[in-house]
Amino acid sequence: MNQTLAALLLAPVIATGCATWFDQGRQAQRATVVDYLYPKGEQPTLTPSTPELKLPLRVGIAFVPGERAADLPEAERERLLRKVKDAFASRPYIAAIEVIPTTYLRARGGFDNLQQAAQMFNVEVVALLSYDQVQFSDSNRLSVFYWTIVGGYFVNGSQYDVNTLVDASVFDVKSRQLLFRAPGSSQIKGSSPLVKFSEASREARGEGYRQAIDTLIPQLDAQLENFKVRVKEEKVAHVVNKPGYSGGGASDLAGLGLFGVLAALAALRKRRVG
Amino acid sequence: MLLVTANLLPGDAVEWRRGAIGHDEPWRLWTGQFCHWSGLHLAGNLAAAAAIGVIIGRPVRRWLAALPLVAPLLSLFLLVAAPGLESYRGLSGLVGVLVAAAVVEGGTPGRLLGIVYLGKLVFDAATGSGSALLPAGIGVTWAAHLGGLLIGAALAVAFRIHDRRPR
Repeated sequence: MNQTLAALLLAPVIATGCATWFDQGRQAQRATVVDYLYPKGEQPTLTPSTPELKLPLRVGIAFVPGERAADLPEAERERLLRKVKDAFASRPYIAAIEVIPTTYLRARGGFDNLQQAAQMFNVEVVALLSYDQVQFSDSNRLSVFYWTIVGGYFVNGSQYDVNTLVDASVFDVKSRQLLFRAPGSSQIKGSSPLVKFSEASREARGEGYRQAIDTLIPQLDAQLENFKVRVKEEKVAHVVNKPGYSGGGASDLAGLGLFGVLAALAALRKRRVG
Repeated sequence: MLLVTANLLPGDAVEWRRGAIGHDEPWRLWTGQFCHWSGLHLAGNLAAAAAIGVIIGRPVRRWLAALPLVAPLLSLFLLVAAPGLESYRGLSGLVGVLVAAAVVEGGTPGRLLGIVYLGKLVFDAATGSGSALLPAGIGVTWAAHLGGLLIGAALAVAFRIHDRRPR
């Protein structure tokens, strides 16, 4: 009688345990530029103006604040942002890059919030990093050993697949115009024993961000070069110098052509006289 | 020698930099006028100097010899004339000195060069135009060209006085 009672009492516990052990599914964290800058779903205003960039630029860089900010710890965010900062800090047309902690931005704060932060950190251009990370978790065939209890400690029966997309959108704060953007992405797959799954998948999510940032940096560099060409050829922005700018002594190509023509003329005259 | 050294050393260590010149780094008064932002920048300025050498001919030698002497004067001129300028690299300020030499010693082509150079200088000052020889974000420092012309004019007067002195 006692054994039957014990079995009846244990049955739901065991069933719940199994359900917990074999929890499968999808976990996502995202923060998008559109949600942050246009929280009420308003349309971006189309004002046909050319942004004025005063060189050298003071640039801010920040993660877009998401609804679930705790998923990516602030210290890790700052480390990733510093990585991007270090890659671009030595450019002569950049006076300074300021890392803006997410705590200085408000979720769905809009351009008003962006301007507040930009004024606080004294920057004219802000690179906003949005992210979209999805983790798929499944059990593989080895998970059958979880029934042995011990298997849950030693057999890699749980697997994860973490897909991360990071997107940098560079805005001129004053004109509220998007100057250029660049993406970075990563995919991490792995497996672990059940008891370590939470820790392993958390590490994979962190590594996913690090790898996505690593792929973002060269993309951002390429887009920056492309933007410089567009500034020169398509005049997508008006560039002016401000105190603290770097200068160079140089002729332009037309001037060099003139130098060449006059040198040829002088050489001809000398030959004729000689 | 100065030109080669300035372009082989790291640009950050030798460029004209306002904050550093007054803080125990006086060599920048010389090297800043000879170092460059890129190989293309260097090639462009050397081509301009070579063209002026052809226009002037043999007398260009003493002008070239004077360039290391007038380089710090041009650097000091930039400290005063371009208060917003934080850093500078390029030979073309000194090319401005050679343009003055071309006006004096280069006959009609030299004088023609001087007129066009002056016109371009006014255009650059008015529009703040850039140069394809410079990396993006680096503006043409027209004040260096103006300083080069003024120093070149002063040097021309000095040479004239020297030439007239009885031997």
